[in-house]
Amino acid sequence: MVGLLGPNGSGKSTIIRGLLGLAALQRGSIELFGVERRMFEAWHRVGYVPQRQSVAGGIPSTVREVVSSGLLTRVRPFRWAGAADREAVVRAIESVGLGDHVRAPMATLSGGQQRRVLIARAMASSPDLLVLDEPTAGVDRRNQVALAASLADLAGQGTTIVLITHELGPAELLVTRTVVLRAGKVVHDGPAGDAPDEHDDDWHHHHGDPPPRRSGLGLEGIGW
Amino acid sequence: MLQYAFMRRALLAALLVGMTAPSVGVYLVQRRLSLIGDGLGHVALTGVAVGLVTSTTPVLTALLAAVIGAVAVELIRVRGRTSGDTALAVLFYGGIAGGVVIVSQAPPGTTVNLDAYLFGAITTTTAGDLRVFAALSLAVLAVTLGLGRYLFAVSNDEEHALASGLPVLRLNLVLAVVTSVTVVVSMRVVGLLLISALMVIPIATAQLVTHSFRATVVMATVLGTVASVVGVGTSFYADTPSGGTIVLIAIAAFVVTTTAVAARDGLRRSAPPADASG
Repeated sequence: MVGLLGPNGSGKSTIIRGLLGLAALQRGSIELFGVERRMFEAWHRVGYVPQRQSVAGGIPSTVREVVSSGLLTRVRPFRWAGAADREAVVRAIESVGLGDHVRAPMATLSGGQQRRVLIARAMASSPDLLVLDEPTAGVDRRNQVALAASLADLAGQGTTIVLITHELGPAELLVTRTVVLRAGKVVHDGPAGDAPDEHDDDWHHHHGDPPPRRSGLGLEGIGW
Repeated sequence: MLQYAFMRRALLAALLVGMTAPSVGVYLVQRRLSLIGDGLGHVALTGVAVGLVTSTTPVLTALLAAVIGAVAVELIRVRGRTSGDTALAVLFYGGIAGGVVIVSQAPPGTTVNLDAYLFGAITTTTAGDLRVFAALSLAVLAVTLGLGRYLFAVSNDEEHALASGLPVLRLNLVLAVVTSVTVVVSMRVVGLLLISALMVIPIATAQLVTHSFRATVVMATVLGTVASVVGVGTSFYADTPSGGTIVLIAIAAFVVTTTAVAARDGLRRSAPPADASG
């Protein structure tokens, strides 16, 4: 699991938008699974959880309907969803702990639950790479912990997870590699634990020193 | 009223519009493009005018104009520097202006009744129109049913659809084209200025009581079909323009449903705490 860290405006989202084809590259290149992005077609191997909190649109939709739209990279048009597809959808919903809410309308869920639905949507196609953009902004502590548990399961199954955040939280213990961005440049790339503290302006001076171990799950407060 | 051939045609046309308009409109409402149908109706008017002046079947020229307009507005929205809102405004006024100017060039002796095209009339559907409408409606329903999950994904979360590698631009163009086709199917009984109502109001009514997207589509389609067919029937007996009658019936259903839902919620709120968990 990779943590992509950096303050607001440091270029985290831009990298991801380039990776996913949401933004054009000015220079450089991006490869997905060894394939140049523009030639890349195996989109079912990539799951993306956008930063947006909820699913927009005024029309009611159920958890199952939203998660099903994550399967479309695998199924063909003009074909009804098969039993295997429906099973994959339910499995994805269960894996984020919302098994009791399969038929629930999105509007009845809390912000944290809606976020987990979007994660289930990204997981429906059983991706090998899961990209989450600020998955915990505005999510309460209990849901953050539930989310971290879902991610741990996935990582255990061999999924590569890229977590974009400006602050780590309960998922911190899961991160094995940290990439820190500042003003568009990679200022740190290495095993987790070496990562500088984002809130320490002088972090680069004591870079290399054993960082103060943050309390992880014990932290109180807002965000991560 | 079924002994009149024109009424049989009008009722069949109403049935086709009632089924297709909500099944397309649901994606427009979801994308917050409720007014696009209205813009395309205006553009179709220019097509009608061209048809009248050149003595071509107005249905076909309207179809051509609406499809070109739909594709143009979608491309402007995605590629151009103009916002969707402004593109829509150009569409509205360009369509009306073009229609009025071109109709004025009609050869002397042509009787031009734009009212029937704008607001719908039950006597105007020809047998040829009906065949075209049936084919177009089937095509629209094939697209909305066959590509429904894709259109849902794109209108629900365009960014995620892009990141999933879905052909978002092509899907949006498909939606734009089926919207303009629906506008044209409606031009006889509902009218070009009122069709948008049938794409939006049944959806607005259905979503007050449904919990899933699919249920919304099904209920809106039923509501749209009932409003269209009852509207055409009422129009026959009350001697009113069919489009206006259909839309008023659809709005009545919306008002009744809103009131009923508000009353139900009011009752729930004043109910004893035992109900609070539900």
